[in-house]
Amino acid sequence: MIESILEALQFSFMRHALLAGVLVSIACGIVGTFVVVKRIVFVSGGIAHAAYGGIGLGYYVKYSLLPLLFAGGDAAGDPRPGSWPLLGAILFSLLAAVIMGLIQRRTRQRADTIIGVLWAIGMALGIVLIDLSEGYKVDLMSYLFGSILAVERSELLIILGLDVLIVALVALFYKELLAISFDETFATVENVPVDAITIALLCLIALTVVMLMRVVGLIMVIAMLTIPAAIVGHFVQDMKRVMAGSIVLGMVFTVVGLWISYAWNLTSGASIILVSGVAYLASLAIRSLRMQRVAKL
Amino acid sequence: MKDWTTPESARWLLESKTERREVIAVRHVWAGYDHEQVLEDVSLSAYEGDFVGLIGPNGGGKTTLLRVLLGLLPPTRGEVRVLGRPVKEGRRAIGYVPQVIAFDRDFPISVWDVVRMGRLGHRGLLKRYTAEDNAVVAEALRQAELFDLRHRPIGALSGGQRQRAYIARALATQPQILLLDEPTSSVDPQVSGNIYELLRKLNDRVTILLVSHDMSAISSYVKTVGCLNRRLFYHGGQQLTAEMLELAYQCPIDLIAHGVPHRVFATHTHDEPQEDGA
Repeated sequence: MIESILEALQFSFMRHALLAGVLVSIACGIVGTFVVVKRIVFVSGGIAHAAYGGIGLGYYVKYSLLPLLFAGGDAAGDPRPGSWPLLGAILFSLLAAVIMGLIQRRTRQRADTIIGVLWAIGMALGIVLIDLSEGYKVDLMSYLFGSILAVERSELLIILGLDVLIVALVALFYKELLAISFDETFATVENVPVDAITIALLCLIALTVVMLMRVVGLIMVIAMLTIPAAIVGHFVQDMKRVMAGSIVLGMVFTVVGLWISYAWNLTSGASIILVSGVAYLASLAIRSLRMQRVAKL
Repeated sequence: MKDWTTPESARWLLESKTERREVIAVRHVWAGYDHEQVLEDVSLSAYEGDFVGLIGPNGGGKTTLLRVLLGLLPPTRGEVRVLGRPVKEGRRAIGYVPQVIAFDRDFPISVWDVVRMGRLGHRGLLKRYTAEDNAVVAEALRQAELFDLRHRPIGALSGGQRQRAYIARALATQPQILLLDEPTSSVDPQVSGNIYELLRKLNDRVTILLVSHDMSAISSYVKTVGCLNRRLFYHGGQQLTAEMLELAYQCPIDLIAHGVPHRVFATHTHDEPQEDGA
């Protein structure tokens, strides 16, 4: 087993994948904790799926708009989509975060309906834009199901940069983020800028979602974002410890998932999610056993 | 317990009323949600040192009035001032104790961290809590007799302890006014008594305004009472009158005063008006 791990590590794509998994787990553990305690899993799902519109836009710009503008230029010749889809996803997810934030703040009812609609519109827009773009769409599936094995050095740098940004913002606004998560009304009375902080949190979720899309894919982003924090939350009752624990768990899940996917030649994103899911079910079982024991005493 | 029935205290009450500062001023306020008025022409004056209890049926606008006072709901008509200033400034002097109902027991936070949120208004964005903040939080916890439980997760507290934690959080804001929404709705009668005793002690320093549907508890501890059911019936008096109750509840009320001031028991012959029917 050790031999096969060493063998796997000789491939640069494997090293990149491990590094990406570990780096993404940091942002994921911190932001995911807020998603779980503030109960905004659905909004996060909306942001993730709306981001698909941005991927479509990226494709469209790269394969149809740029060749049109710079006919015969370099861009047209490159078969790979480059960072256009990623940039599109960042743009769209941030946009979705702001819109959903405003909707949640402004409308009393039916916020979930509107979020569901935006979720679907983002997705549909992405598909249509990809239909409209020229050329062969080779790695579309990679955004839906992740492609951690294809992470390049430049993307690792982007992920690292986003990590630093997320950690810095959460550290700077921690007391406000905690306050709006625990008791929005009280935070308002204390003159905390609740609207701005809420939208900032949703933007942090948007950036995390874009990173996670690379690792486990759009469809499973929510699982990766919420499972580690949900598990740790069963056993720890302090926000910062939940974050730390979620980061560690996220790292363990990605590393174990990657190894399983390598050893049995399975899809990496799905392997990571299955490992997380099994761990979550196990933690539920452990918790209910503990509660039964407490009840007996 | 101070006896408010003696001529002395009555005179004190009268005199001080003219000298004391008006800390809450509500003038002809109308407020509500989505075209439905919940408060109609409500006027209220509370003075420094007051301990005002407002009772009223569910849906009578108790929480709405607090939301207006806290600047969470702008009135459609009328004016509200706190310490002579607009509510969004004046609310800095208010310690707010919400009703303990919709509460996430699993939220990973300690009593200490909850109470420290009372310091948010004193420490703006990008500033860390200071040693002074921690001292204020510790003092607030001691007053609420929760200091020993400060490391507990908030979800592990009993109903009464949680209520005291929210009171401690409000005290940590170093308020001049305490606003409480149904402070005893989730606790049993004995604990309820403890909470009112705590409030009476605090009333030496802060003005208190609380709303509740629990008439008997309110009327035995507060200095002045009023009835709120869309309209407010409050004259700065110590006792609920049958007239006030009838006006507020719009149903006949058997009023029995057992010779004890502030004690009022009322029996309803009809159900209380419901949320949407009222």
